[in-house]
Amino acid sequence: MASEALFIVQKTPPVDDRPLWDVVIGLYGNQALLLAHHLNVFELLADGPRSSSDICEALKIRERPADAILTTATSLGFLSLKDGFYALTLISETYLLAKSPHYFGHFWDLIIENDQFHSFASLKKAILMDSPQSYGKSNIYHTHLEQAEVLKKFTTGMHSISITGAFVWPDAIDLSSHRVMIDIAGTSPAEAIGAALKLPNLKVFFLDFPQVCELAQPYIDQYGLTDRIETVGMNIWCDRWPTGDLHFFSNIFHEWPMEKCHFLTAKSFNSLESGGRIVIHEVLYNDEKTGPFFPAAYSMMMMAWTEGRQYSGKELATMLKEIGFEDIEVHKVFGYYSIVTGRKP
Amino acid sequence: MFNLGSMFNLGSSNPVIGKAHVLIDCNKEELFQFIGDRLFENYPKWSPEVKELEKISSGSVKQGTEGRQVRIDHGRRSESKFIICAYEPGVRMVLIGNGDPFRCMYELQEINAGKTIKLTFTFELLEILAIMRPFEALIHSAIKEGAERTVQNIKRLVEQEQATKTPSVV
Repeated sequence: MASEALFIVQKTPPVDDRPLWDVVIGLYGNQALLLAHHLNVFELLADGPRSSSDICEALKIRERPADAILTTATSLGFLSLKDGFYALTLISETYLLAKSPHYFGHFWDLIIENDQFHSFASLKKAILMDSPQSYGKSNIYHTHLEQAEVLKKFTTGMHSISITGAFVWPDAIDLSSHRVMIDIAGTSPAEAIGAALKLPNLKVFFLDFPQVCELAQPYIDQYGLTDRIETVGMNIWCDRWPTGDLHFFSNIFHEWPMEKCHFLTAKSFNSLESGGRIVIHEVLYNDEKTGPFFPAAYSMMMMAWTEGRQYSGKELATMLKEIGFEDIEVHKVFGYYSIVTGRKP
Repeated sequence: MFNLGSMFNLGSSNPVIGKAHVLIDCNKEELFQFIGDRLFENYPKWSPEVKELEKISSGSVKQGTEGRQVRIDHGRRSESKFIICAYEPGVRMVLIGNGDPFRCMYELQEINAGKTIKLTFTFELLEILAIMRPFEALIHSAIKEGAERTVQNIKRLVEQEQATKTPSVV
């Protein structure tokens, strides 16, 4: 038996072991990007390329760690290296400079500050107990002010990842006949802002808990949409929604098990005017549920934070059909996101 | 992406849902005929709160059929319209309020090689009026009890009906 094993191990296996290395090395490599952001590498390069020693001096770190971070960032396309000078690339200029309207950094900050939720121990607990690890966080805040500050970081983080795609999905389908959009529990009013700016005749109601609405208002004011986007503080599960002909859910269904998604969809169907439209904005699995990797890993994030998971376009379309929606369509929109939409007869 | 309500205790995310199931010794065709095809005849029998019931669309019961009901629940009279939004014989029937915030689902599942049917009834109250908010806990409990009563009533009625159809062996 031992000699047989010895013989087998000497033969080259039919596949190499890179996928196994990728699992481990990804854990370290991706942290390098978060560190580069946290240490302000990208902001430092906003005024132009710099040498490694310049960067070391500015960040007050030594050459070896700088080399590890900068090389990883370069290998992943976030930096370029030419003649010994590191520079921003299109992706880092667009998303990792705070002055950019597409700034993604607040979301990275949120992930860095809450790194306990993506630890092995935390995810193991979430998997074994089928229970999000983030619930009841308010118990750990000593004051209302402290809780409000943390809540603000979450809404800022959500705004950071939503504002760019918010200007894309309204172009995916013809929404010109719609007059009143209801943005349900968006956390950030980014999607409401995108829709209002793209569709000049649209009035938008942004529904969320009163504390979230309070944080949403400055964004609405900043875009000069105070008259067109109205926040409505409520509990979406039991309160009556304002009348509208366009219901929009972004990153909502993946927070909940299918039974609760059904409830929200039925409530939408019940509340929409005839001819009204539902739009569900999510990252979707393929219909075979074999991937891709991004929604699969996103479901792991949802394990840590929520009761939900990602769904496939087919699952969401079936749900819409079961509830009575017609003309159901699935469209790719921006980045990893898609919309699933249907019309109430 | 972040369920802030549950994370920060901003509010409940528990919708008002009553769900109950029962096992009935019959086949799915018989049960669906009782619940679905003969809805307008039998609904007031398993839900005695229904005092008036009429079909307001034409034809046999199917997806899209509309109805009107008058109910008296705990002394409170209410009139509502509904539409059948899913009608799959032998599988399920779903009614949703037409302007009124409720949804009812009757789902059938064969077990015991088709000799027994698991009937699951779900009632969802899609919103609670502001004036009823102080009674939310009572509403949750009443709806839960109502769902349990519904499946037990259907079981009793279907089994009674079967007993009257079966010739006695003497």
